[in-house]
Amino acid sequence: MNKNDWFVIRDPIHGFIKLTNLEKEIINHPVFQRLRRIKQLSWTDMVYPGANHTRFEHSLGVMHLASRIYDTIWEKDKNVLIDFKIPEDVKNRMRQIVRLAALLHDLGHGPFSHSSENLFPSNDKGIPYRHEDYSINIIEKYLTNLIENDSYISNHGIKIKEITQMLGGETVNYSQLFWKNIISSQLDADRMDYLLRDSYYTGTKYGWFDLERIIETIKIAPDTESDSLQICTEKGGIHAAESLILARYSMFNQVYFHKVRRGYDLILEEALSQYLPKGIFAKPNRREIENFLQWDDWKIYNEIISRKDKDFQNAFYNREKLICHFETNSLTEFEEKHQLLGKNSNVYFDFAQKSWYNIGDKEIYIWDPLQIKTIPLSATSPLISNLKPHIQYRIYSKKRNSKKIKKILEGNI
Amino acid sequence: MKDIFSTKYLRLAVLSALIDKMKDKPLGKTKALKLAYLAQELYDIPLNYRFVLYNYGPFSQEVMNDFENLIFHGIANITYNLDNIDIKPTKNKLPEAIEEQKQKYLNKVEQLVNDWGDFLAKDLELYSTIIFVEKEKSKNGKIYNKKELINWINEIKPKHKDNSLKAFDFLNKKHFLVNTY
Repeated sequence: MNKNDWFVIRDPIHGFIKLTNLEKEIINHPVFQRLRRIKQLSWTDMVYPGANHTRFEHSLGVMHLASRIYDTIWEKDKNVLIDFKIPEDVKNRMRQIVRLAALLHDLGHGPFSHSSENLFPSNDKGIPYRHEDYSINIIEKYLTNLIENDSYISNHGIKIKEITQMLGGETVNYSQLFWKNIISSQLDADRMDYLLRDSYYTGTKYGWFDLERIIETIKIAPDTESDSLQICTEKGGIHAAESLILARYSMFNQVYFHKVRRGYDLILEEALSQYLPKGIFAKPNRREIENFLQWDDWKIYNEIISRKDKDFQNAFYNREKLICHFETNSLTEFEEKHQLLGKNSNVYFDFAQKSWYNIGDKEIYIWDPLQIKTIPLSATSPLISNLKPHIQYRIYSKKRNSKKIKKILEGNI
Repeated sequence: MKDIFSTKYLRLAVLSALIDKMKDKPLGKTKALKLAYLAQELYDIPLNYRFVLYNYGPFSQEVMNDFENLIFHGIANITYNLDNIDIKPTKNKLPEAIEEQKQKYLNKVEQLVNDWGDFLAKDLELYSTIIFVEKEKSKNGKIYNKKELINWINEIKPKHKDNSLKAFDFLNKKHFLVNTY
């Protein structure tokens, strides 16, 4: 590609992010511009005032990192890829697919990102839709023409479903499945970007990790349990991989699962359930997706202002938060309180869980050149293998119901 | 507000039953995950996990989180060896509301373990991949032939070419593949 075909955007995390003509056109499309109006961390700014960044810049960052990981893998492990029948002749084509999937992976977020996901409907089997389902639908409905007929990459002949399969859509090319790991795995571009970015904007330094070392030491190898090809690191990357996991651990404990922030999520969910038709988002299908796209943070603010509902207005104007009456990581203790409350409708339950490593997530494998095999990080790092998951059950109420709920929980009613 | 606990409790109940029934067999991460997939897809246990296909077969983060939840609460524990972990039940009980649910699914879980409990993780990965692909491809009502299905599986797992045909025949014989001839 000619140098003049690149555009650059300045980013506080990665410096200059390069874009192709097509990527620039996609970014300027209304469905992508909508991400400017969806805050990455919802109402975390009620606790960390700097946290006002959006899904827009995160998506650019993920695309940037995805291609860095992709390039490193080809540079370092071309022979392994070929051994696993991943063809080199479509290397540039696949690179573009990975970049587009990374760029578009968050298009389907509802207002205030993950905070509104409990109001997604379920499919015919009763499985709740996820933001990825909306991303897939939006991409296929609004971006097919732009991408498939793009004059700059038309020689690649990229099909839209090759992009959406990277996000969990129907698989159309099974030999491309390995590259999904760049978008979603223990060592994926998404988490690398959100940890650095969220850390930067919240001002919490513990989300920082050695990105350059991780990228430098990334490689690929079959995993020990199943022979499937995985992204792993060289031995020299062990400490950087540890620091990535510890960064997640700290960010979830200190930021994402913060008591006040989670309480605001519950307020938002209640507000949205009143504003949405039938209390729930439209389904991710071609007919209804347009309705879904109307919902962004600005619309919610507008609803809160125009409807003059005191509870929601107080939450914003006076920072009147929910009162957290009880928190525990014991399911038995929680269940006791749950029973005491019966069907009391003036309480809010919150369950937050995140795993770091042991069971709750995929392994990070370390390539051991002496044994010529990969070894799980948990087997070499006592620090990581001893991390306990974050599990938190909480019970909240509004301030005006606080005394009554407190009495019930104490067993006095 | 959605009752987020009813599904959660059912999942913990079923996975806890699975760990109990697997107590005399090795149960690592991959095996645990794939057995949960088979429980949902072949034994009509309404776990409602969303599995996504990767080159290492169907995966759901929520399944792994729930196994970890059980370990955290002392319902199971893990031991480490160099290459893998092993999940084993303890004598601790779940809260009564969950134990009641567990009883309902014991028979189905027992059947699952009888059918699949002795397979290696890599075999379960291959079987569950075949089942996932067959289901995904037949969503639109199309019927596929054996050759087409095997070709797709070999694209995902080029190192398992020798085994994919055998795995297909096994699944077909057991009537687990309904849209391929």
